Amino acid sequence: MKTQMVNMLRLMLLINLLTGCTGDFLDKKPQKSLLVPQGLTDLQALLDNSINLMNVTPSLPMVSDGDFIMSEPVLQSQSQMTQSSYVWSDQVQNELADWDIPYKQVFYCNIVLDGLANMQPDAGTEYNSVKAGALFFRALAFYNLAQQFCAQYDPATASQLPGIPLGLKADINQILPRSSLAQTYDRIIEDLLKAEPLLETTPLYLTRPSRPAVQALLARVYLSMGDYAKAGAFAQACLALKNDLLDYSTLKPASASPFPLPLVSGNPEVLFYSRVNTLVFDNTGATADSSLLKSYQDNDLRKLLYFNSAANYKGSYTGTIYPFSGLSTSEVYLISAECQARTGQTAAAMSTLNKLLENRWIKSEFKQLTASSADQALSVILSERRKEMVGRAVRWQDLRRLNQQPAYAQELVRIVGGVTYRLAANGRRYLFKIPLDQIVGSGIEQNP
Amino acid sequence: MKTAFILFFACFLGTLHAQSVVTGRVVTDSTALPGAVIKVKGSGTGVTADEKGNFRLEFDGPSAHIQVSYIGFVSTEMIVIPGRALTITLDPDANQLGEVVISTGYQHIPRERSTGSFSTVDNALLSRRVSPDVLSRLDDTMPGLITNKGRGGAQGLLIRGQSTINSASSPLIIIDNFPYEGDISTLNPNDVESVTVLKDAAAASIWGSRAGNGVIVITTKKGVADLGPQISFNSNVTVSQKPDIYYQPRISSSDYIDNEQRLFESGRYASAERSASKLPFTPVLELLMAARDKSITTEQARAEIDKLRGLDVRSDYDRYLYRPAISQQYALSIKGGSGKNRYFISTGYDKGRAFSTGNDNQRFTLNINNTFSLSSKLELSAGLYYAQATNNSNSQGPVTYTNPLSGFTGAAIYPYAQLADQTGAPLPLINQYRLSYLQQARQTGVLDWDYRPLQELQLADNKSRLADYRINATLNYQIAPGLSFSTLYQYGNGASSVRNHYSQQTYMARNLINRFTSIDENGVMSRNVPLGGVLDRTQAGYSSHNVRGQLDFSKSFTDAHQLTAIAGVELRDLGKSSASYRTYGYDDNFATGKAVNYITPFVNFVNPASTIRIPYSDMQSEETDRYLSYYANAGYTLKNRYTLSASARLDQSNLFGVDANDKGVPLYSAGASYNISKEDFYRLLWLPVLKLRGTFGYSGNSNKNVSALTTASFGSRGDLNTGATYATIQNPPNPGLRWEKVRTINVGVDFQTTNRTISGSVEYYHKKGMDLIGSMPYPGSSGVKLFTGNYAATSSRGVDLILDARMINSGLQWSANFMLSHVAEKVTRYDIKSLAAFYINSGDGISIYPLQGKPLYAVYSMPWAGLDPANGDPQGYLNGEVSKDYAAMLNMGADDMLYHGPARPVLYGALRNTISWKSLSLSVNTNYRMGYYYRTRSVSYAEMNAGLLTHGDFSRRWQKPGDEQLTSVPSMPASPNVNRESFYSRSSALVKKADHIRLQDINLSYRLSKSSLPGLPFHSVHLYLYASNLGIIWKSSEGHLDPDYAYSDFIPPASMSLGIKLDF
Repeated sequence: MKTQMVNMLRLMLLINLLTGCTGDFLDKKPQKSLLVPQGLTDLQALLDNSINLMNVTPSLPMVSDGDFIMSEPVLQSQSQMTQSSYVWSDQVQNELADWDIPYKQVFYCNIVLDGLANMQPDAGTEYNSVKAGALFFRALAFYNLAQQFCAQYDPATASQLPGIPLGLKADINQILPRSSLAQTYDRIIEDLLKAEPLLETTPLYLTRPSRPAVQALLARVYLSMGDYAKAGAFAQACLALKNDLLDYSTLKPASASPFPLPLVSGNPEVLFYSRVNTLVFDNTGATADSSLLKSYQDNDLRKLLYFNSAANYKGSYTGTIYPFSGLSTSEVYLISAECQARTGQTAAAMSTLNKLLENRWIKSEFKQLTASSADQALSVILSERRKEMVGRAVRWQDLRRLNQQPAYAQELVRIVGGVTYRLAANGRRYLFKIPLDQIVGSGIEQNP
Repeated sequence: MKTAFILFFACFLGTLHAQSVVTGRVVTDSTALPGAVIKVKGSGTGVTADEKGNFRLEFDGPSAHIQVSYIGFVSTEMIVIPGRALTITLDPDANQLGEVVISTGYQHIPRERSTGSFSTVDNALLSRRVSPDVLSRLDDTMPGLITNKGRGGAQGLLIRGQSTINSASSPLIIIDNFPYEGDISTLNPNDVESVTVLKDAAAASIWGSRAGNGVIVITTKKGVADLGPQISFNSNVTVSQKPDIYYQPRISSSDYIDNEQRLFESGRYASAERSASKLPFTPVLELLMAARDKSITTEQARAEIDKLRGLDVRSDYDRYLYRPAISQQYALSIKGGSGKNRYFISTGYDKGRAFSTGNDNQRFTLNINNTFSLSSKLELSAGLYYAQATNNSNSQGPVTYTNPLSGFTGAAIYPYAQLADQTGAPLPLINQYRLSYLQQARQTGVLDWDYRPLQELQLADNKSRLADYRINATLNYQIAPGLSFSTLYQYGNGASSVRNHYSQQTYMARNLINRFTSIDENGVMSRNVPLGGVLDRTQAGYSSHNVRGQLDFSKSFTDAHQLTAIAGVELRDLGKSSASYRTYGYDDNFATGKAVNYITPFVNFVNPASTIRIPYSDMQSEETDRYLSYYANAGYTLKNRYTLSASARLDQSNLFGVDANDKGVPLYSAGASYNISKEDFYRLLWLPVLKLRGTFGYSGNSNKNVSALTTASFGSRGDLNTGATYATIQNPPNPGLRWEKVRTINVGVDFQTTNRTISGSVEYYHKKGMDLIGSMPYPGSSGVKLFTGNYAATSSRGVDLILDARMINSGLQWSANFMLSHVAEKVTRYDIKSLAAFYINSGDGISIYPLQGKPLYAVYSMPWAGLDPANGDPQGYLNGEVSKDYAAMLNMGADDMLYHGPARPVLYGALRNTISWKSLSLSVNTNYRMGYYYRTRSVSYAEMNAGLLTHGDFSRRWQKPGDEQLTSVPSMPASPNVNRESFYSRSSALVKKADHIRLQDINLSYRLSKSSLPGLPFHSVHLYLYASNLGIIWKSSEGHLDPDYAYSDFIPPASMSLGIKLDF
């Protein structure tokens, strides 16, 4: 009997041996492609998720900004969300990609920043580049949200008006209220200022930020805040590092897509690549506003490079039918010129503008533009800005800021199905309604 | 307590000192009777048979008078002497409970001593249905099990409701002791001896963290001892009708044409006509354009269009794309054995052709198992199961094209399309591009660009193969009487491969080549996708190792006590891998392909304003599941009356990202039963069996898709913008993640009247899903729209009843089997509430939108206030008032919507009547499903406005005042209104009650055996006729829709099988 008991124990031991080293046995990854993002390479890989996430920006402002007109049948075939935005309707959407995607970008950035916080800081290029990348993408996402869901920034009221929820940790259980508008802009500026010194001049890929790209974004942000001195300074700093322009006279106006693919063959003007998140209107569905079209002079190459004979847009710097929404030197030239004009440097402003325009006209026909006063310079620059930047997702931001100045304020009007729709300068619908799922899920304050 | 325990063991160990030994096996009709009790009369010495029915009895003296008993069988007595192994055959006792042994996959328990909830289906009942697979044969055989129809996640086989939200809800399937990871359709039902379903905690806890949804234990056929070779052959053929493709109503061709004209006249196609992507137009639109452009006259156009009004593409579908399905089944088996060896060998061949022309399948199975008695104490079993299946999937499905208004590439073809001309020759149809563009493109020298659906069907070459095998070995060592040790090992391997070859003649290949063709300024053509075919291959496979070591103890001592116990360790390692890759420029004669440039975007030949990349579809994945489990269970029966049972299990796995300490989940159960009819005071002679039982315990669900840490996965190729390696977050951080648990309470009564006139059982259960993992909608500002965590709970309460009645039991026999299940499910905790629209759109199974207090899948709607008598607008309610403010109603909260009821049956069951007379037997099975709802489809003016095909309700629409009395289909709006459409589609006007009773199937069989007809060349012959899907007898809703197939294109057609089974 005793031996039987011993045998039994031996057998039990054998089984335990069979299953020995259980630690290793159970530590096997269930899926080979899975990772817990830890090292710099993993974190960079999150930021490089460009195609449908990090390098896409909101699209509805382009539907609302009035630069493009859709015929009624085309409009009717659009989503209810697009139709609503087109006529500045008060209808609240259940969900909005324009809200969700920027916050998903913020979430990725916060995972990267939390990951970096758990690592030994080092001053190496890779570490700096990952950190600055996360700060840049987060700032860009917050900025895009502010342009769509917050009031236009005004230093006098910014601390009283609501901003957006500012999640700074990858903790999804934390449901945040709306910050103030001042806090929102402070956060954007702080992140960008931190990122700027950490970056190199030339990025490995144009989907990643570089120092000139951060400076260009800072210039854009300060411009929208009305801080022309700082906007101008960052524009200058950017151009000091990179001031290349694409000579439009080398392009073929007859081509259906005249601009080079920035990520493949290269476009010297592109500082940072991004596109809008949905195909707002395919290239035959919408035509450019006729007053805009009329504003191009005959020898201005942009008219033929940006539009086909049916006034459909074909001028995207993405080289595809998706509108470009990234950063380019041409925008920085325009910011620089505008800030120079606004700070009284008329001659410098016109000189900056002419440098850009030289590359936009048939060379032999181009005559330098002049202005007799800073105000006149500003007017010329703003007009050129609209002509240059059409289809690049900045018109909405320009309308919002220019509406603050009575001289440039304007009302948008659309007629659809015999009904006239208006968006007054500073009208209520310059703030999009926050999607209902956000309001229901978090209880944050809805826009009026 | 401890002393008592030692005494208890000492008591039985004392019996081991003996001089004589007798061994043997207890069987009935060649099936082992594990747990049979063998006692030396008058001495109190006794043993129980092990799971093979074997026993070893030691006794004093040269011979012994033994008594062999087994519940449900007539006891027998005999004098035995040591020496040759005995085979003791027991005969069933007509006055005892019918079912004998329950197999849990770990042990065999006599039903009498079980405390848990089990249902067993024997071979006879499994064979009543004719089907190529096993699981479909379980329908209507037991209460608590249902194969749900409906849509999305609400479909599928479920045992006693669903106690999980996001983890798999399907039961765990065990084949011959181990979980089966392959494709269950490879198992030949002819090889299955019995199926046991474990429903409650005591039954299923032994399977631990994967048993929360119940366990289906499949036992395959085995050899028998002391029997010459027994050969059996079974064959049948099943023919099913062609499906009724007119089942879902559809707008008529004429109405569709009128709509096209209306849209054309309103200028809707103007922009699509100029489209750079050369969008296609239907023949009617082309005629209208031609008339507008004056290339034909308006009269000519009208005449041509009127010719199309009478056409219906479905008649071509019916003629060319569908056919009656036929399947054939052949199975041959041989079993037998001697004292030392038992064997079972079978082979099967199945062949079927599907309804869809171009699809067929074949399956070959081979099953060999052998058991050797190496010594009186050591037994070895080894088995091999091999299955190979081949499928051709050449059907192209319904014909589609790119709708020019919506750009939707999968739009159903226009209803007046013709697939073939009068001679049956395939006709070209529009697909992606306008015909005039294709003619123009042809001039440039690209390949023929026509799309002929019927030709595609002939050219298709899509074959898949599946090979699956299991090898197992079991070594059983009898350490002492009543104590044995066994090691089990099983290796499983399955490999499937899909080879889909698109030859250069196929539209898919030609279109791809043409789109990537470029012609430079000098007219030189280059092809970026080379000439030749496209070959897609997918290979997937798994291999699994299962090892188990288990001690079994089973002992009766004195008349009063019986103890069974098992303890063991189990280890599982499952590896899965899959890879798919594509070859361009494929030449099938030489199996060669050509390299392509995936990186560079090429100018799109069709729309030079856009660039496209050559589609890259290669991917690969590797997964590993590992489990390490420790388990034990014990059952103690006193005086054959009182039984206590308990089980415990610890499961550990490589759940990703969780610290080793948290990987394990301990689960346990306890139960008791009371065989009250065995009590001396029991006097109910008309009810000879009455047993009460109850259990309590925990099982679990495992979910590999969540992790406590942030996890990400690398894209299987570089980012399309840059080629850089990129990663996507799969799982946000969730430090508090825990395993899901399901607590089950089960109480039941088993009973049987005299002569088994009525027998059955009633059970009540309550399953509580705790710490359930679910995806919960999250505010976008968190960065995660859906978050997965342990924040949900569910509850399912139910009653299962089964009654077996022998109505007449003389020359004519009539028996009835009645099953009834009631299950009330609800989500008891779910923290976040979404908008009504989400629940209404998707809550019936399309996706998961749990609402606290309601069943997981339920049908909701927006309240309906009828049609506006003035203009036929749909009306609803807003703040209690009749309203047409659709935008406001669409934003209603979850509290304001209507809850109709569950999307799955609450009350269901079946009634099977069997009448036999001599050799003839007729069995009729009806089933019923009650207490649930479904949503019907209806016309969508938004679809019409996009030029899409819509529902046949169009003809029932409101057209003039007064129609609102007759119809609830809204009028056609003067101008399109998306919100009006959305409101109507979500309104309660479209919700219906799904209750129905169905005549499921009929089996007529005729059996002849040698005993009744001595001249028969076989031992017996069995002829059977089986008809199934015979239709609905009663339903609560009006209209022609079958509530269980409200979303299907057609209902499963009736089928008829004819078969023969020969036993030599």
